[in-house]
Amino acid sequence: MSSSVALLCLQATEDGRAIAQAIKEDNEGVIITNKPAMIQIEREGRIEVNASTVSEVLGREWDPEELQLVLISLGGQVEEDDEQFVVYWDN
Amino acid sequence: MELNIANIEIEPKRHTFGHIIERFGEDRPASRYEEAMYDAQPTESFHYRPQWEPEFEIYDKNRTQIKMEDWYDLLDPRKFHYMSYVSTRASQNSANEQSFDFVGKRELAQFIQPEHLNKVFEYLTPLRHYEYGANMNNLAIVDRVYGTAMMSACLFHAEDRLGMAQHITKMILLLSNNEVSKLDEGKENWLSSSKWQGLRKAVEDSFIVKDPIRLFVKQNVVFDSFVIPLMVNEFSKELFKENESTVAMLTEFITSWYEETIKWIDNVIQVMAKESDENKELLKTWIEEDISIIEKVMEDLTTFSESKENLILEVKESLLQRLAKSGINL
Repeated sequence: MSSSVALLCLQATEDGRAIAQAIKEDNEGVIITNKPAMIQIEREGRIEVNASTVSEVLGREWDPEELQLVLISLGGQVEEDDEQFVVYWDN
Repeated sequence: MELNIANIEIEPKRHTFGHIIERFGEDRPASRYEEAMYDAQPTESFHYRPQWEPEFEIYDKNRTQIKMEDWYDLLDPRKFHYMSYVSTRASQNSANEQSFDFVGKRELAQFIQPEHLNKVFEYLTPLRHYEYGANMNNLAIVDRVYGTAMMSACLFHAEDRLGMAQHITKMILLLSNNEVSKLDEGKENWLSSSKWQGLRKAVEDSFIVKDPIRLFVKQNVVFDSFVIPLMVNEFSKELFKENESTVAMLTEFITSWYEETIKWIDNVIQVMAKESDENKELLKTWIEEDISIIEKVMEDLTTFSESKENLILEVKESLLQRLAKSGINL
Protein backbone atom coordinates (compact mmCIF):
# COMPACT_ATOMS: atom_id res chain seq x y z
CA MET A 1 0.00 0.00 0.00
CA SER A 2 1.29 3.42 -0.89
CA SER A 3 0.46 4.87 2.50
CA SER A 4 3.09 2.70 4.14
CA VAL A 5 5.93 4.14 2.08
CA ALA A 6 8.10 6.55 4.04
CA LEU A 7 9.30 9.48 1.96
CA LEU A 8 11.97 12.16 2.05
CA CYS A 9 12.49 14.78 -0.65
CA LEU A 10 15.80 16.61 -0.43
CA GLN A 11 17.29 19.43 -2.44
CA ALA A 12 20.00 18.13 -4.75
CA THR A 13 22.81 20.13 -3.16
CA GLU A 14 26.22 18.92 -2.01
CA ASP A 15 24.82 18.30 1.47
CA GLY A 16 21.63 16.75 0.08
CA ARG A 17 23.60 14.31 -2.05
CA ALA A 18 25.78 13.35 0.91
CA ILE A 19 22.70 12.68 3.04
CA ALA A 20 21.19 10.59 0.25
CA GLN A 21 24.43 8.64 0.03
CA ALA A 22 24.35 7.97 3.78
CA ILE A 23 20.71 6.88 3.61
CA LYS A 24 21.59 4.49 0.81
CA GLU A 25 24.27 2.89 2.99
CA ASP A 26 22.05 2.52 6.04
CA ASN A 27 18.67 1.57 4.55
CA GLU A 28 18.55 -1.61 2.57
CA GLY A 29 16.22 -1.56 -0.39
CA VAL A 30 15.71 2.19 -0.40
CA ILE A 31 14.67 3.70 -3.73
CA ILE A 32 16.49 6.91 -4.62
CA THR A 33 15.29 8.85 -7.64
CA ASN A 34 17.22 11.84 -8.91
CA LYS A 35 14.83 14.49 -10.17
CA PRO A 36 15.85 17.89 -11.47
CA ALA A 37 17.18 19.75 -8.38
CA MET A 38 15.59 17.20 -6.07
CA ILE A 39 16.36 13.78 -4.66
CA GLN A 40 13.35 11.62 -3.88
CA ILE A 41 13.93 8.90 -1.31
CA GLU A 42 11.36 6.18 -0.68
CA ARG A 43 11.33 3.05 1.40
CA GLU A 44 8.63 0.86 2.77
CA GLY A 45 7.87 1.56 6.41
CA ARG A 46 10.93 3.46 7.56
CA ILE A 47 13.88 5.64 6.55
CA GLU A 48 16.73 6.23 8.97
CA VAL A 49 19.21 9.08 8.67
CA ASN A 50 22.15 8.43 10.97
CA ALA A 51 24.28 11.41 11.96
CA SER A 52 27.43 9.28 12.19
CA THR A 53 27.10 8.01 8.62
CA VAL A 54 26.30 11.44 7.20
CA SER A 55 29.27 12.92 9.09
CA GLU A 56 31.51 10.31 7.55
CA VAL A 57 30.26 10.97 4.02
CA LEU A 58 30.44 14.74 4.47
CA GLY A 59 33.82 14.72 6.20
CA ARG A 60 32.62 16.97 9.02
CA GLU A 61 30.36 16.80 12.07
CA TRP A 62 26.72 16.80 11.00
CA ASP A 63 23.73 17.53 13.20
CA PRO A 64 20.36 15.94 12.33
CA GLU A 65 18.80 19.41 12.65
CA GLU A 66 20.74 20.40 9.55
CA LEU A 67 18.46 18.12 7.57
CA GLN A 68 15.86 20.90 7.67
CA LEU A 69 18.13 23.04 5.49
CA VAL A 70 17.73 20.71 2.51
CA LEU A 71 14.37 19.10 3.28
CA ILE A 72 11.62 19.79 0.73
CA SER A 73 8.98 17.38 1.89
CA LEU A 74 8.46 14.23 3.87
CA GLY A 75 5.91 11.48 4.30
CA GLY A 76 5.49 9.69 7.61
CA GLN A 77 5.82 10.28 11.31
CA VAL A 78 9.03 11.80 12.55
CA GLU A 79 11.33 10.86 15.36
CA GLU A 80 14.46 12.86 15.91
CA ASP A 81 17.27 12.96 18.44
CA ASP A 82 20.95 13.95 18.43
CA GLU A 83 22.06 10.84 16.56
CA GLN A 84 19.20 10.06 14.24
CA PHE A 85 16.35 11.38 12.14
CA VAL A 86 13.69 8.78 11.33
CA VAL A 87 10.53 8.95 9.19
CA TYR A 88 8.27 5.93 9.54
CA TRP A 89 4.70 4.69 9.29
CA ASP A 90 3.23 3.07 12.36
CA ASN A 91 -0.02 1.96 10.74
CA MET B 1 -11.04 28.73 -23.52
CA GLU B 2 -9.31 26.52 -21.14
CA LEU B 3 -5.60 26.74 -20.57
CA ASN B 4 -3.80 23.64 -19.49
CA ILE B 5 -0.34 23.91 -18.07
CA ALA B 6 1.23 20.55 -18.55
CA ASN B 7 4.14 19.37 -16.54
CA ILE B 8 6.87 17.39 -18.23
CA GLU B 9 9.93 16.08 -16.56
CA ILE B 10 13.11 16.05 -18.60
CA GLU B 11 15.42 13.21 -17.71
CA PRO B 12 19.05 14.29 -18.09
CA LYS B 13 20.96 12.06 -20.49
CA ARG B 14 23.45 11.34 -17.78
CA HIS B 15 24.07 12.53 -14.25
CA THR B 16 27.81 12.99 -14.18
CA PHE B 17 31.01 12.91 -16.23
CA GLY B 18 32.17 9.88 -18.20
CA HIS B 19 35.32 9.30 -16.15
CA ILE B 20 33.25 9.15 -12.96
CA ILE B 21 30.77 6.67 -14.47
CA GLU B 22 33.71 4.53 -15.59
CA ARG B 23 35.11 4.51 -12.08
CA PHE B 24 31.90 3.82 -10.16
CA GLY B 25 30.19 1.70 -12.76
CA GLU B 26 26.91 3.56 -12.39
CA ASP B 27 25.47 6.82 -13.53
CA ARG B 28 24.72 8.51 -10.24
CA PRO B 29 25.06 12.19 -9.48
CA ALA B 30 28.58 12.53 -8.07
CA SER B 31 29.71 15.13 -5.60
CA ARG B 32 31.69 18.09 -6.92
CA TYR B 33 34.65 16.73 -4.99
CA GLU B 34 34.52 13.40 -6.80
CA GLU B 35 34.09 15.07 -10.17
CA ALA B 36 37.00 17.43 -9.60
CA MET B 37 39.31 14.82 -8.11
CA TYR B 38 39.16 11.48 -9.84
CA ASP B 39 41.45 10.88 -12.80
CA ALA B 40 41.90 14.55 -13.53
CA GLN B 41 45.62 14.12 -14.09
CA PRO B 42 46.97 13.35 -17.57
CA THR B 43 48.45 9.87 -17.74
CA GLU B 44 49.72 9.32 -21.26
CA SER B 45 51.01 10.81 -24.51
CA PHE B 46 53.52 13.22 -23.00
CA HIS B 47 55.81 14.87 -25.52
CA TYR B 48 59.08 14.40 -23.67
CA ARG B 49 60.47 13.93 -20.20
CA PRO B 50 61.12 17.04 -18.11
CA GLN B 51 64.59 18.42 -18.69
CA TRP B 52 65.02 19.04 -14.98
CA GLU B 53 64.62 15.35 -14.15
CA PRO B 54 64.85 13.24 -17.29
CA GLU B 55 64.83 9.99 -15.32
CA PHE B 56 61.11 10.51 -14.62
CA GLU B 57 58.01 11.19 -16.66
CA ILE B 58 56.40 14.55 -15.95
CA TYR B 59 53.85 12.78 -13.73
CA ASP B 60 55.57 9.74 -12.32
CA LYS B 61 54.62 7.35 -9.54
CA ASN B 62 58.29 6.44 -9.04
CA ARG B 63 59.24 9.77 -7.54
CA THR B 64 58.36 8.30 -4.15
CA GLN B 65 59.29 5.00 -2.55
CA ILE B 66 55.70 4.55 -1.37
CA LYS B 67 53.74 2.30 -3.69
CA MET B 68 50.02 2.68 -4.27
CA GLU B 69 47.80 0.64 -6.54
CA ASP B 70 45.56 3.66 -6.97
CA TRP B 71 46.84 7.09 -5.93
CA TYR B 72 43.27 8.36 -5.98
CA ASP B 73 42.60 6.36 -2.79
CA LEU B 74 44.30 9.13 -0.86
CA LEU B 75 41.17 11.20 -0.56
CA ASP B 76 40.65 14.25 1.57
CA PRO B 77 37.89 13.54 4.14
CA ARG B 78 37.20 17.29 4.22
CA LYS B 79 36.21 17.00 0.53
CA PHE B 80 38.01 20.18 -0.40
CA HIS B 81 37.71 21.27 -3.97
CA TYR B 82 38.07 24.90 -4.93
CA MET B 83 34.60 26.05 -3.90
CA SER B 84 34.34 24.17 -0.60
CA TYR B 85 37.88 25.13 0.39
CA VAL B 86 37.42 28.82 -0.33
CA SER B 87 34.06 29.10 1.39
CA THR B 88 35.22 27.19 4.49
CA ARG B 89 38.28 29.37 4.90
CA ALA B 90 36.32 32.56 4.17
CA SER B 91 33.82 31.90 6.94
CA GLN B 92 36.59 30.92 9.37
CA ASN B 93 38.44 34.07 8.49
CA SER B 94 35.47 36.31 9.12
CA ALA B 95 34.94 34.69 12.53
CA ASN B 96 38.61 35.23 13.21
CA GLU B 97 38.43 38.87 12.17
CA GLN B 98 35.89 39.42 14.91
CA SER B 99 38.39 38.39 17.58
CA PHE B 100 40.97 40.69 16.04
CA ASP B 101 38.47 43.55 15.99
CA PHE B 102 37.50 42.79 19.56
CA VAL B 103 41.10 43.00 20.71
CA GLY B 104 41.82 46.03 18.53
CA LYS B 105 38.77 48.11 19.46
CA ARG B 106 39.16 47.60 23.18
CA GLU B 107 42.89 48.12 22.90
CA LEU B 108 43.44 44.95 24.87
CA ALA B 109 47.05 44.80 23.75
CA GLN B 110 47.99 47.63 26.07
CA PHE B 111 46.78 45.63 29.08
CA ILE B 112 49.24 42.85 28.41
CA GLN B 113 52.16 43.13 30.77
CA PRO B 114 55.40 44.09 29.00
CA GLU B 115 57.21 40.91 30.00
CA HIS B 116 54.40 38.79 28.52
CA LEU B 117 54.36 40.85 25.39
CA ASN B 118 58.08 40.37 24.97
CA LYS B 119 57.59 36.64 25.40
CA VAL B 120 55.04 36.67 22.58
CA PHE B 121 57.42 38.52 20.28
CA GLU B 122 60.24 36.18 21.22
CA TYR B 123 58.39 32.88 20.76
CA LEU B 124 55.75 33.59 18.11
CA THR B 125 57.29 35.99 15.60
CA PRO B 126 59.96 33.61 14.25
CA LEU B 127 57.25 31.03 13.57
CA ARG B 128 56.41 33.07 10.46
CA HIS B 129 59.53 31.62 8.90
CA TYR B 130 58.64 28.09 9.94
CA GLU B 131 55.24 28.49 8.27
CA TYR B 132 56.84 29.86 5.14
CA GLY B 133 59.10 26.81 5.07
CA ALA B 134 56.05 24.58 5.39
CA ASN B 135 54.50 26.47 2.48
CA MET B 136 57.55 25.79 0.30
CA ASN B 137 57.68 22.14 1.32
CA ASN B 138 54.04 21.57 0.46
CA LEU B 139 54.47 23.26 -2.90
CA ALA B 140 57.40 20.90 -3.52
CA ILE B 141 55.07 17.99 -2.73
CA VAL B 142 52.51 19.37 -5.20
CA ASP B 143 55.25 19.49 -7.84
CA ARG B 144 56.27 15.89 -7.46
CA VAL B 145 53.46 13.79 -6.01
CA TYR B 146 51.22 11.61 -8.16
CA GLY B 147 47.44 11.95 -8.49
CA THR B 148 45.06 14.88 -8.16
CA ALA B 149 43.79 13.70 -4.77
CA MET B 150 47.14 14.42 -3.07
CA MET B 151 48.15 17.27 -5.33
CA SER B 152 45.14 19.44 -4.74
CA ALA B 153 44.91 18.78 -0.99
CA CYS B 154 48.62 19.64 -0.61
CA LEU B 155 48.14 22.79 -2.64
CA PHE B 156 45.33 23.89 -0.35
CA HIS B 157 47.53 23.02 2.59
CA ALA B 158 50.41 25.07 1.15
CA GLU B 159 48.08 28.06 0.82
CA ASP B 160 46.94 27.50 4.40
CA ARG B 161 50.53 27.70 5.58
CA LEU B 162 51.09 30.98 3.79
CA GLY B 163 47.90 32.15 5.49
CA MET B 164 49.24 31.06 8.87
CA ALA B 165 52.42 33.08 8.32
CA GLN B 166 50.23 36.07 7.48
CA HIS B 167 48.06 35.38 10.48
CA ILE B 168 51.06 35.49 12.80
CA THR B 169 52.25 38.67 11.10
CA LYS B 170 48.86 40.31 11.64
CA MET B 171 48.87 39.25 15.27
CA ILE B 172 52.35 40.63 15.95
CA LEU B 173 51.45 43.92 14.28
CA LEU B 174 48.26 44.21 16.31
CA LEU B 175 50.08 43.52 19.56
CA SER B 176 52.99 45.84 18.80
CA ASN B 177 50.86 48.73 17.56
CA ASN B 178 52.10 48.20 14.00
CA GLU B 179 55.75 48.20 14.94
CA VAL B 180 57.28 46.64 11.81
CA SER B 181 60.67 46.37 13.51
CA LYS B 182 59.19 43.51 15.61
CA LEU B 183 58.99 41.43 12.45
CA ASP B 184 62.62 42.19 11.64
CA GLU B 185 63.61 41.22 15.15
CA GLY B 186 61.76 37.94 14.72
CA LYS B 187 63.66 37.23 11.52
CA GLU B 188 66.91 38.10 13.27
CA ASN B 189 66.00 35.60 16.01
CA TRP B 190 65.20 32.91 13.44
CA LEU B 191 68.58 33.54 11.79
CA SER B 192 70.83 33.84 14.81
CA SER B 193 69.23 33.24 18.20
CA SER B 194 70.60 29.96 19.50
CA LYS B 195 67.25 28.47 20.52
CA TRP B 196 65.83 28.73 16.99
CA GLN B 197 68.83 27.26 15.17
CA GLY B 198 67.80 23.64 15.68
CA LEU B 199 64.39 24.18 14.12
CA ARG B 200 65.86 26.30 11.35
CA LYS B 201 68.32 23.54 10.51
CA ALA B 202 65.57 20.92 10.55
CA VAL B 203 63.43 23.04 8.21
CA GLU B 204 66.27 23.91 5.86
CA ASP B 205 67.42 20.29 5.73
CA SER B 206 63.91 19.32 4.68
CA PHE B 207 64.12 21.58 1.60
CA ILE B 208 66.37 19.11 -0.19
CA VAL B 209 64.13 16.06 0.35
CA LYS B 210 62.98 14.98 -3.10
CA ASP B 211 60.64 12.09 -2.37
CA PRO B 212 57.27 13.86 -2.02
CA ILE B 213 55.76 11.43 0.50
CA ARG B 214 58.98 11.44 2.52
CA LEU B 215 58.61 15.21 2.67
CA PHE B 216 54.91 14.94 3.52
CA VAL B 217 55.77 12.73 6.49
CA LYS B 218 58.57 15.00 7.65
CA GLN B 219 56.77 18.33 7.43
CA ASN B 220 53.07 17.63 7.77
CA VAL B 221 53.03 14.55 9.95
CA VAL B 222 56.00 14.85 12.30
CA PHE B 223 57.36 18.41 12.46
CA ASP B 224 53.93 20.04 12.63
CA SER B 225 52.66 17.71 15.31
CA PHE B 226 55.40 19.02 17.60
CA VAL B 227 55.77 22.63 16.54
CA ILE B 228 52.12 23.69 16.31
CA PRO B 229 50.79 22.15 19.55
CA LEU B 230 53.82 23.26 21.55
CA MET B 231 54.54 26.71 20.17
CA VAL B 232 50.92 27.75 19.68
CA ASN B 233 48.64 25.77 22.01
CA GLU B 234 50.95 25.15 24.95
CA PHE B 235 52.52 28.56 24.68
CA SER B 236 49.18 30.34 24.94
CA LYS B 237 48.18 28.04 27.80
CA GLU B 238 51.33 29.12 29.59
CA LEU B 239 50.25 32.75 29.25
CA PHE B 240 46.78 31.74 30.43
CA LYS B 241 48.34 30.68 33.71
CA GLU B 242 49.48 34.27 34.13
CA ASN B 243 45.91 35.47 33.48
CA GLU B 244 46.80 36.51 29.98
CA SER B 245 44.08 35.38 27.57
CA THR B 246 44.39 37.78 24.62
CA VAL B 247 47.02 35.71 22.88
CA ALA B 248 44.96 32.53 23.20
CA MET B 249 42.07 34.38 21.56
CA LEU B 250 44.23 35.53 18.67
CA THR B 251 45.75 32.09 18.06
CA GLU B 252 42.45 30.19 18.26
CA PHE B 253 42.27 30.23 14.46
CA ILE B 254 45.50 28.23 14.20
CA THR B 255 44.37 25.74 16.85
CA SER B 256 41.05 24.94 15.21
CA TRP B 257 42.60 24.88 11.74
CA TYR B 258 45.11 22.34 12.97
CA GLU B 259 42.42 20.08 14.46
CA GLU B 260 40.68 20.05 11.09
CA THR B 261 43.88 19.48 9.14
CA ILE B 262 45.08 16.42 11.04
CA LYS B 263 41.93 14.57 9.97
CA TRP B 264 43.18 14.74 6.41
CA ILE B 265 46.79 13.96 7.28
CA ASP B 266 45.83 10.93 9.38
CA ASN B 267 43.60 9.64 6.61
CA VAL B 268 46.44 9.81 4.09
CA ILE B 269 48.77 7.92 6.43
CA GLN B 270 46.11 5.35 7.24
CA VAL B 271 45.36 4.57 3.59
CA MET B 272 49.05 4.29 2.71
CA ALA B 273 49.81 2.03 5.68
CA LYS B 274 46.84 -0.18 4.86
CA GLU B 275 47.99 -0.62 1.26
CA SER B 276 51.00 -2.81 2.08
CA ASP B 277 53.41 -3.89 4.79
CA GLU B 278 56.29 -2.39 2.79
CA ASN B 279 54.60 1.02 2.94
CA LYS B 280 53.98 0.60 6.62
CA GLU B 281 57.62 -0.24 7.37
CA LEU B 282 58.83 2.65 5.26
CA LEU B 283 56.52 5.11 7.00
CA LYS B 284 57.59 3.77 10.35
CA THR B 285 61.30 4.27 9.62
CA TRP B 286 60.72 7.77 8.30
CA ILE B 287 58.57 8.81 11.23
CA GLU B 288 61.04 7.46 13.78
CA GLU B 289 63.86 9.31 12.12
CA ASP B 290 61.94 12.61 12.07
CA ILE B 291 60.72 12.31 15.63
CA SER B 292 64.29 11.94 16.86
CA ILE B 293 65.24 15.13 15.01
CA ILE B 294 62.34 17.30 16.11
CA GLU B 295 62.20 16.05 19.68
CA LYS B 296 65.69 17.36 20.36
CA VAL B 297 64.98 20.63 18.60
CA MET B 298 61.91 21.32 20.71
CA GLU B 299 63.90 21.15 23.93
CA ASP B 300 65.62 24.40 23.01
CA LEU B 301 62.34 26.01 22.03
CA THR B 302 59.97 25.15 24.86
CA THR B 303 61.98 27.21 27.34
CA PHE B 304 58.83 29.24 28.02
CA SER B 305 57.61 26.44 30.26
CA GLU B 306 59.04 25.03 33.46
CA SER B 307 57.78 21.55 32.66
CA LYS B 308 59.07 21.38 29.11
CA GLU B 309 60.07 17.72 29.26
CA ASN B 310 56.50 16.81 30.15
CA LEU B 311 55.05 18.96 27.40
CA ILE B 312 57.23 17.38 24.75
CA LEU B 313 56.39 13.90 26.04
CA GLU B 314 52.66 14.65 25.96
CA VAL B 315 52.82 15.96 22.43
CA LYS B 316 54.84 12.96 21.31
CA GLU B 317 52.37 10.64 23.01
CA SER B 318 49.43 12.20 21.19
CA LEU B 319 51.24 11.83 17.86
CA LEU B 320 51.91 8.16 18.64
CA GLN B 321 48.24 7.66 19.46
CA ARG B 322 47.17 9.25 16.19
CA LEU B 323 49.60 7.02 14.30
CA ALA B 324 48.42 3.92 16.14
CA LYS B 325 44.88 4.69 15.00
CA SER B 326 46.20 4.89 11.45
CA GLY B 327 47.76 1.46 11.83
CA ILE B 328 51.34 2.46 12.57
CA ASN B 329 52.62 1.28 15.93
CA LEU B 330 55.91 2.72 17.00
